[in-house]
Amino acid sequence: MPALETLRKTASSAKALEASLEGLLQDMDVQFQVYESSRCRGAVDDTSCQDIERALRQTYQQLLDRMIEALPEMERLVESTRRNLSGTLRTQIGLNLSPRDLQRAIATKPGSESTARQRTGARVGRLSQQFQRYYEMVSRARGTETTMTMAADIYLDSREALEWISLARQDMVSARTELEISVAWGNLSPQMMQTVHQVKGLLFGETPALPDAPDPKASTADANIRALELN
Amino acid sequence: MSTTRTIRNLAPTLAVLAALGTGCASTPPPVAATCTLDPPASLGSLADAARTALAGSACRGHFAEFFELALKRAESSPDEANRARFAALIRQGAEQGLVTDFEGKQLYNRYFHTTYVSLPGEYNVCSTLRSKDKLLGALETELADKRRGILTVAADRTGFQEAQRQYTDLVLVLEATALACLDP
Repeated sequence: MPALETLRKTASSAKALEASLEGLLQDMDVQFQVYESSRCRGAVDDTSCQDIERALRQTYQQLLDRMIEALPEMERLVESTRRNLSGTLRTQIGLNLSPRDLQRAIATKPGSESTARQRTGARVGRLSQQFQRYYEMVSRARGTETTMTMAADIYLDSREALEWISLARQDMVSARTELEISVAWGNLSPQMMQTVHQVKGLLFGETPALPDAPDPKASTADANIRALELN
Repeated sequence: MSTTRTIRNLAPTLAVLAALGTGCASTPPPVAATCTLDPPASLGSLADAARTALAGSACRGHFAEFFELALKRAESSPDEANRARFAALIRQGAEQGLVTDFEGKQLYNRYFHTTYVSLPGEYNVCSTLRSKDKLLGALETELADKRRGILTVAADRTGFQEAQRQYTDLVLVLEATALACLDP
């Protein structure tokens, strides 16, 4: 299992980033609404519109700077979790068990270790909550054998998170360059809101939905069934 | 859909063709033996019906067809007791030498048990996952067979939920391990 400390740090790092950006994102939403409701788009000679636009650009610049500053550390922590779990999955399952052994291991732990969500490719919930949840799950599962699906789930999520972070890093740098150019040309880029949307997606995700775990099947008294069933 | 199927035993027909080829045209061709499989409407007598139906030489090799026809019939009469009826049918087939013990277990567990028989035990997971698509395809097919057996025929919703849970967990762990096996 991943080092608990790495999971805790990842959750805490993501939480700090979310907290530092939440205010900025709210400011941007408000400023953008004012910009739109004041019909500032295209009103290049209006001094109040220029003020709103300048404030919007400043907030956006701060948002990009914070993301660019924080993402490398976040990436390092998530990568550490991914690498740790990759080794665990490869040595403890991949090289040590046959698929049939794996089946036995999963069959003997009915409903106990599933993280109970379908993998859809879209992350659910805040990044910090996701890693906090993993931290708590791994803390609880320490010393038990119920960690196989948990390890797989965290590993796949870490890979997804790394892809998101890597894309976000590239996009933030591009967005900052674009902002500098657009300042020079005096236009408010529509790309700005898309970048904000991407930041929200990376940090705040979607709402989680957890299905109920099924009850284990009752054993049978039928002699023919007992003779045929797999142990 | 009719659950009766007539299966022509081709061996006598081939014998006739061979005889024609040697010029024995005067020998009358033997009547081709037919195998008629008709699982009983009352599934309680499934094993007895199999013993009778599969005892004759014409139907001897057709246990799998009988099993399939019986499943089709049982789909329209879901009942918890069907699980035991099919277990008895398989035991009957084993006693008649129509299926080996191993084949019988594979057949029963594929349709009526929550664990998956498609997963091989010879090589480790990393080696087996070189044919990941084939393995996951086999698991998916078996999940469909379990839906048919556990849920539709044996009317066991809880049992099928457990089979689904195991399928989901297996696919999750196999997908993750497949990637981890390839990590540098």
